[in-house]
Amino acid sequence: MIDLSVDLGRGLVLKNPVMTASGTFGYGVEFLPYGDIGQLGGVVVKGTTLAPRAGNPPQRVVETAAGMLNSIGLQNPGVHHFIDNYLPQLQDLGVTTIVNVAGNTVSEYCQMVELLDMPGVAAIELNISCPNVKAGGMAFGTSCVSATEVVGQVRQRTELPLMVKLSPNVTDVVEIAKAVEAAGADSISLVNTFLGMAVDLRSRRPVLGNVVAGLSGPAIKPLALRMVWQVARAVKVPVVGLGGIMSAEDALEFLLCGASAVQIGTANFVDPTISWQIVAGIAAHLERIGMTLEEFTGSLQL
Amino acid sequence: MQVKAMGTVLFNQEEAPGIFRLRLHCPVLVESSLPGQFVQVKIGNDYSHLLRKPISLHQINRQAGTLDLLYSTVGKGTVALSTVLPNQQVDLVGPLGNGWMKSIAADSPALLVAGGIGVAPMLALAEELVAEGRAVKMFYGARTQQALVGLAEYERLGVDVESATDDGTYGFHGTAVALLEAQLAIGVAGEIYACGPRPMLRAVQSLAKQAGLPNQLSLEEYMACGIGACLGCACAKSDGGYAHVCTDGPVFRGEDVKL
Repeated sequence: MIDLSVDLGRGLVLKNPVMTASGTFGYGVEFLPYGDIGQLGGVVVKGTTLAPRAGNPPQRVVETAAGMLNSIGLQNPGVHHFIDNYLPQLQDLGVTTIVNVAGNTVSEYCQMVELLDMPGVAAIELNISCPNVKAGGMAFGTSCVSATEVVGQVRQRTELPLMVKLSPNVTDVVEIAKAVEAAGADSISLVNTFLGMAVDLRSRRPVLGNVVAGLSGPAIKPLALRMVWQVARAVKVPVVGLGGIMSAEDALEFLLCGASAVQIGTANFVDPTISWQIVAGIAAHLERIGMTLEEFTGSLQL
Repeated sequence: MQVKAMGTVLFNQEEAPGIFRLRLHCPVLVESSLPGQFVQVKIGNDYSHLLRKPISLHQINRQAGTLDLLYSTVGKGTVALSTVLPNQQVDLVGPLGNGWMKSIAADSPALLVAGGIGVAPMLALAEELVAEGRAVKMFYGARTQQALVGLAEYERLGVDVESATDDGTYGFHGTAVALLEAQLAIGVAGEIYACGPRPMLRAVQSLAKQAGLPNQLSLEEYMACGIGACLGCACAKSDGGYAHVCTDGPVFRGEDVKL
């Protein structure tokens, strides 16, 4: 098969450009009945926090037109539990494990990356874009000043490759991308979910327990594609595109617009085998058109 | 073992107004299916019904390699599912969840409590309990006589069914919970298995607690993945935090959940 490997900087080399997006693939092991998770480009694990988090009250998810809203609220058993219970298994399975970390404070982000500097952790995805928590999360990712602060502080504390995940809920995502690049990000992933909401006309109540929630799925793909294209033109570090990718064709569109790699999110809920199909579909397309991944990436003809 | 597999439609018929029974031939999935488990059903091939719909297993026939789903056309997705025709293929993920738990009082009668479409996971359970030689009594409530589905099947199995309707058109004029309550009041004891709307489950949970009877509740919650990855289908636990209906349930011991 064609070489699909991709270098995302500071030694993070993926077998292929297909990762699974945080929060949509659990810790990878949930998908063992559906494929060899070691064959994916990378598994970005569920958003991890320093202390365990119970998450938001139900209802937490609802389907919308060509998409879904979620307000899970970063439910997770905490970074120590992840290190003790999931990391060894992922290491045994040969998974390129990328840990998505979210903090309430800059200090929490720093403590977590120090704890995670260990064999088996391939990279950190710095989550400064979770829309479903009160403190931290998206608050860090919506201003250049706070984004620079958290990325800069974390950069000083780890040699691990640092992927910074951006929120689309900003006026100018390019400004934020440039700020995190300058602060030491090795790659930039975008987009996290768009803040949305759903209401029930009959009960006149919000559908979801947290009232507002993150929108994902095919509904957001054109928005995400536009943002990825804008950012990829503006920064030198590799860009990882995500937002509504449901097929190999969708993934290829992000690569065409300048993404070096992609993440598959909501599609994993629809078809638990889709991430592997997308790897195969990308390879088949590149072979058919006779281009290497490197040649194809960012080859959009304007 | 969970699989993603295509099931062939054998029939998809309306058993009662708005309640359909879909029989699918899917041996690879049926092989490991247990009563109380569910499947995630993909409806259509476009994005108009993006997420799969969790539907519980109504009947499992290992010899024939078939599974039956009983569902009510409550939303756009299930309405679309009701138009699927024999010989068409349906995209399934399953079997999912843990199903009904092993009995902790095997020598006592099984008391099944079903409300409305909550009857869906009861047929496979009743068949299993009868095969184990348990005495099975079922309290089954629905809005109206027409909405009571499959009474003859339970009777054929030898299940002692007491029915109730909200409008009094058949059986007891009231709810399945009221029937259970009356039986408990005269000293009937046993292990309770319940599925139905949240208020019904809350009432069963409280009656079972008062009577000190073991009870299992099958819960429904909005789901995305169905396999424990998204953490969407949260249900509050009695001792704090949240359980997930897909992988921790859908069946829970009454004392373990806060409804």
